[in-house]
Amino acid sequence: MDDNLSKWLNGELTDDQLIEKLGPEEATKYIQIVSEVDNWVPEKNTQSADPTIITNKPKGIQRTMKSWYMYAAAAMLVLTSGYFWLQFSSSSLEYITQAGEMKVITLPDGVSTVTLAPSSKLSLDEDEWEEAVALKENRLRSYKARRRVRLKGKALFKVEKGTKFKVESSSGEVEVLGTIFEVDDFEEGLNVACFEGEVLAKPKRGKRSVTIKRGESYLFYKGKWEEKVNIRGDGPSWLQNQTKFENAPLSQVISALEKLYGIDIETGDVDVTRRFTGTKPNDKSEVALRIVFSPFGISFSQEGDLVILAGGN
Amino acid sequence: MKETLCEERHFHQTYSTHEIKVRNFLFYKLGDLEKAKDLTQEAFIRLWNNCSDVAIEKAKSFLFTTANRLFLDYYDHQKVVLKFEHRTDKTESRMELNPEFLYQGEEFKQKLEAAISGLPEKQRVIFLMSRIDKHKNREIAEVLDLSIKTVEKHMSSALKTLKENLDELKNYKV
Repeated sequence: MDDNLSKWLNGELTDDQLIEKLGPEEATKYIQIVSEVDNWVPEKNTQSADPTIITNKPKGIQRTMKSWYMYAAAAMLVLTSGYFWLQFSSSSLEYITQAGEMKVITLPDGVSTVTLAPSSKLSLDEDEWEEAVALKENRLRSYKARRRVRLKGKALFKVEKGTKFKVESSSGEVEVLGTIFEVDDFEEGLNVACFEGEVLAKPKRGKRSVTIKRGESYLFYKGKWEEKVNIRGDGPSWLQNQTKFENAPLSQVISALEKLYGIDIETGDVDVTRRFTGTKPNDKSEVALRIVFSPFGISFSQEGDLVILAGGN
Repeated sequence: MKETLCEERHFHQTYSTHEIKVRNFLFYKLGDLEKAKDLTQEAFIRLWNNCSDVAIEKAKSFLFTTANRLFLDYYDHQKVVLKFEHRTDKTESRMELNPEFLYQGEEFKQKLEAAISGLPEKQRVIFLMSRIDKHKNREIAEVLDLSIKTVEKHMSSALKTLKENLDELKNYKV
């Protein structure tokens, strides 16, 4: 009987055939309900909104990216760390991206921007920012005011000159004065890459801080700074639909894969401290997984959102 | 160079193809046409902001997924009350005259609206997307991430529930 209704709804049975199958009373009621609903609209004379309202606003990621490359006048930084998250007080603002989603945020000073990578979270205290802006305009005498954000995940910052700018994360913090930089916050580590300008990266718990210059990338992993890696280009690769890794611990790569595709990767007893160097595309998860894992002889199987790794040790 | 949604003509094309369908989808969920329009606008803004990351053929599923996310953010557990207008007055009069129809009276439309508003959300949304917006079952399955069989099942259960509710009301009245 369900089957008859489905077939009729799909147009595989005519009204007459439905009457024949279900009897005239029942069938006629169905026919009446459906022909009534078929004749409905939420609003008869809908005025379609004009899409140029949207397209005339030059707010898209694409345009913003272009303008960054035109500026080409700053630094980039990747910062990575774990679960621990401090809460700001009452006037806090939070931005969150889902898997596969990116957001461009204009910070409260009105000129600095952040591109938040997938599955990341950025928060800041609006009051504190207001003070910092006031300080810059000489409306306030305070040496404490600064532009401060907290990050979990990864982001690219374009910071205009002004008061001190600071990114905090669970495994360290990064300070700049006006620059472009990227912060990637993953478990166990802090990765700082500077494209232009200079930034100062300080890991938590008394480890020595490092000044990172244009074209350099440093990884703080398992409690110590590793040899610097030279980078090319004037912006992070993940903005261009691919992500490049240079001697990155597998755990960092796995974290990036999970965030981008919204998947869970079960590592089992696969050794994730081994290093990956290479570029993976950002659009196709199948391809990206193969590029990352096959060189290690790691096999993977995917069931919905869960990816299980095996072998390769 | 691959064609992208960042070209305004493609974006505008996508806009006119999907605007009403996305709006209706949100309306069926929310029961609030003005809010549905706002959220639809927001979904298109997000599409525009991500125009370089979303392939043209993926725009539809991006829009419905985003609309659903916006709905979840907004949702305040209000009771849904759906009201509709007739597409054309002609069919309306023809229907009133059809002597074979069993549900009688001017209240039929109101009762049906109430019965539809009371359906479980999935059934309601799927039923209306199919009948009003003429989405194919395959398309509904795609944007809601369900199997075609599940969509068919929701369709027929919705229809059965509607009939039962209308019959109940009728008996109660008698």
